[in-house]
Amino acid sequence: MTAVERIEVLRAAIFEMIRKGPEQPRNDASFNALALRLFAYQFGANSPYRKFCERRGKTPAAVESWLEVPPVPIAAFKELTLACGPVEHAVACFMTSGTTNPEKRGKHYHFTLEVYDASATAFFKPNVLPDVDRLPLLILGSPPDRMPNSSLSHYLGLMCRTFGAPGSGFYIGEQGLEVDRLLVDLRAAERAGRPVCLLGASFAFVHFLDVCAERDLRFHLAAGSRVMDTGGFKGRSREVPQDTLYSLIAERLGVPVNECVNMYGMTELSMQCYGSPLRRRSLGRREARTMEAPPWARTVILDPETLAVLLQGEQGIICHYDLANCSSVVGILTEDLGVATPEGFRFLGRVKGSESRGCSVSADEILAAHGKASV
Amino acid sequence: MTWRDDSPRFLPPEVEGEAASGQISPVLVAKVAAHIWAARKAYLVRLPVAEIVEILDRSVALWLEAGSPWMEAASRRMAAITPYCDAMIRAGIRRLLEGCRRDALLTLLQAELGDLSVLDAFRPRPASRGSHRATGPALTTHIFSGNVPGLPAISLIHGLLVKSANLGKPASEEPVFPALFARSIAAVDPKLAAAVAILPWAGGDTAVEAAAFAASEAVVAYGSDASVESIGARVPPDVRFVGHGHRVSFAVVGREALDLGTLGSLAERVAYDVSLFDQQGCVSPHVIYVERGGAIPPEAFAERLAEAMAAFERAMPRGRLAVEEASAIQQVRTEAELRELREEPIRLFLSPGGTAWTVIYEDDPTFVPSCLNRVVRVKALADIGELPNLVRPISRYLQTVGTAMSPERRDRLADALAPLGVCRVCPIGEMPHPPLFWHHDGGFSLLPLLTWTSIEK
Repeated sequence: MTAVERIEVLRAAIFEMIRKGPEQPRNDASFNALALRLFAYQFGANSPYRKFCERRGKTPAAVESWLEVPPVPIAAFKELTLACGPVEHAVACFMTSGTTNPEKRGKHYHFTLEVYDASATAFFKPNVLPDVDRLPLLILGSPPDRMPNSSLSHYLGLMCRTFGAPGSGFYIGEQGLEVDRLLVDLRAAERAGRPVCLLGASFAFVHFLDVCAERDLRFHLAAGSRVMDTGGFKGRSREVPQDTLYSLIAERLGVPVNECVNMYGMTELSMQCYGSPLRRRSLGRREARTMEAPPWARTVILDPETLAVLLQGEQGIICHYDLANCSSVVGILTEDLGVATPEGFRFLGRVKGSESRGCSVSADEILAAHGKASV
Repeated sequence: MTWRDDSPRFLPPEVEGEAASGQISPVLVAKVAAHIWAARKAYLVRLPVAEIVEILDRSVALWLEAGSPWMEAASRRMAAITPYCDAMIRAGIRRLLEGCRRDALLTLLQAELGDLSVLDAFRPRPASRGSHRATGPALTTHIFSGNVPGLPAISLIHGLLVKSANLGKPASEEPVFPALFARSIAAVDPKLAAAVAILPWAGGDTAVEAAAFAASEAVVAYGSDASVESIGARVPPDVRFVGHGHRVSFAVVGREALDLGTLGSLAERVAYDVSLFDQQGCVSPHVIYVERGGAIPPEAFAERLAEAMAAFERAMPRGRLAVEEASAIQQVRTEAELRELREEPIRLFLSPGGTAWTVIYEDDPTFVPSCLNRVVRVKALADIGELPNLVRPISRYLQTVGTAMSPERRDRLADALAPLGVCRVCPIGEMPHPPLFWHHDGGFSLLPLLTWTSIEK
């Protein structure tokens, strides 16, 4: 059995792992050891989580591998307070968008943002800026002071402070996407031959590209320019397949498809995964469009029937173990569909609702017909 | 032996070669329609309805005799391609076809037409001095669903009883049964079966369906609201359309039915209604309302139901699920478990090691539709009188209500539920097996297909 340690000791251990960098050897023994230490701490400090684990017979005394640590379904962040401490002491509470039901938003409390920030910046660098220290970051997102409960805004603000060269800024304000300002700034960067990095939510890119198409505008951004998009569309713009989005970016902005990075992040996590041709090129990897987690996290694909770990190539539910989630829960069971690949995993979309095969009707179909979250 | 033919098609021999060699085109559909239209005109339309009943009865009997090769072929091939196990397919087809014998066919005709020979000739019209007769569509197109094994037989029987030629499109997930059933009719009377064709075109192929609908005088469709609506919108205005879309059912146990001596058998019957067809039937219950104040508290009933669900699973395992379906069950279980952890009045009973069955007991009586595949909620009810208000939000979908209570209270409940659209109240244990003469989705089965002609004297 792993002894329960103080959170400061555990945080120091995570910092040490993050400090070893994104390309450290993926050592399963040290990952396992720290995961079990965190599990013992979280089991002791988080009573709803303890009950959840006890019901499954998974206690620190019984668990020997991080894979046995029960992952918490993200729905739990809406129903329970999953924090290892009094929430009054939290320095940040990141909330899910509540697209399906605004009254029920998942809450992820952070008692310090140092771990989150260290994890996020350490893995952003090799995926988005492996070749330069700073670039002007043109952010198609809201600044953190406008959206204090958005983990994405915090993340974008952090990257802007850490990696933004002069000319960096946010382009979503009170009135939504400030298209005209963005057009002016992009044209200026184009004329000056200054490479830029555009970052933001995928749906914001779709909006912007639609405007460019309407006005028949094209840019030839300087070599070294790049794009990082994240997240789905969630009904906020038309749905565009990832490949189509990148072809449109190449066509309208002049940023080649292999300079476009896709980031996969969640409110419930403290790490991000990336599908980055930039990092793959720098490491000589072959697979296209594979998502990879940092060395302080693991992603597995689970059988939806039994929640057992699936082999490479089999479709199932994406589950993350994130050691940077030190004060909530390490294991997170998503509602995303994925498949494991030799170098990482592929994200196949949100799990769609269950549909009936005939004249019966499933809850999801009734909800869809009524267009709201509860009947 | 024709039943050895594994083809999902059943077509006039003149076009069989053409259908086997290529894609299904609007031209092929028009040719098939012309052949079955001619076969109807040459034979079926002159056949007295009483004789049609005899032929159908003998066809159905072929399926029900011991060791029936028809049943064998259907269950073997359906078990291979549908999610259902062999035992559930056999049980489903058997019960369905047992309800299609001579007596049931005559009861249906009598219940809807009074005098069944109005389908053969002008007959005196009751309460008038005139006479009348009924004519079915020259040709009916059927779009089948694949959720209930054997269900296409009912629609084909309706069409044949009103002397219509019948063009059927099997569901892509269950292309086996319709052609087999048509062949079993051919085994009894090939001339009658010549007025039937089964052609598996791709659902939603608008060009092919436009050709089928143009050749039809009626279209009958089973499936999701979306597919039924899409089909209905494409049926020409002068062609009759009957659509059976989404429906929801539930069961109610009155306090007087809760006694220790019969608890086990009641729970078994509820488990049967929930588990047969994995809740994919519109007749499958989503929620079991259990009244308080009986000898067994609702929560204890839920526990007993869980045992019965486990026993049913051993006898007829739940079908294979898609990732989305299994994941939906996991999410429902999670949501319930989290509420249980917050000490809300809710209890979970789960199949071990997988998602085979789920019973969720809740104090809260709000109707919650199931994600299907053997996920059922038991909800406590202070009094049956609360039910109409509880199900009003889903009245647009309501269909069957299974009951276990005194006949007097059942009748009062039925009175209160009728205005909300409930079309069938039946004993618990019978929910998956509506009789042939039921008011399917609140209407008649034969009458919507018929055109009446009267002679005034």
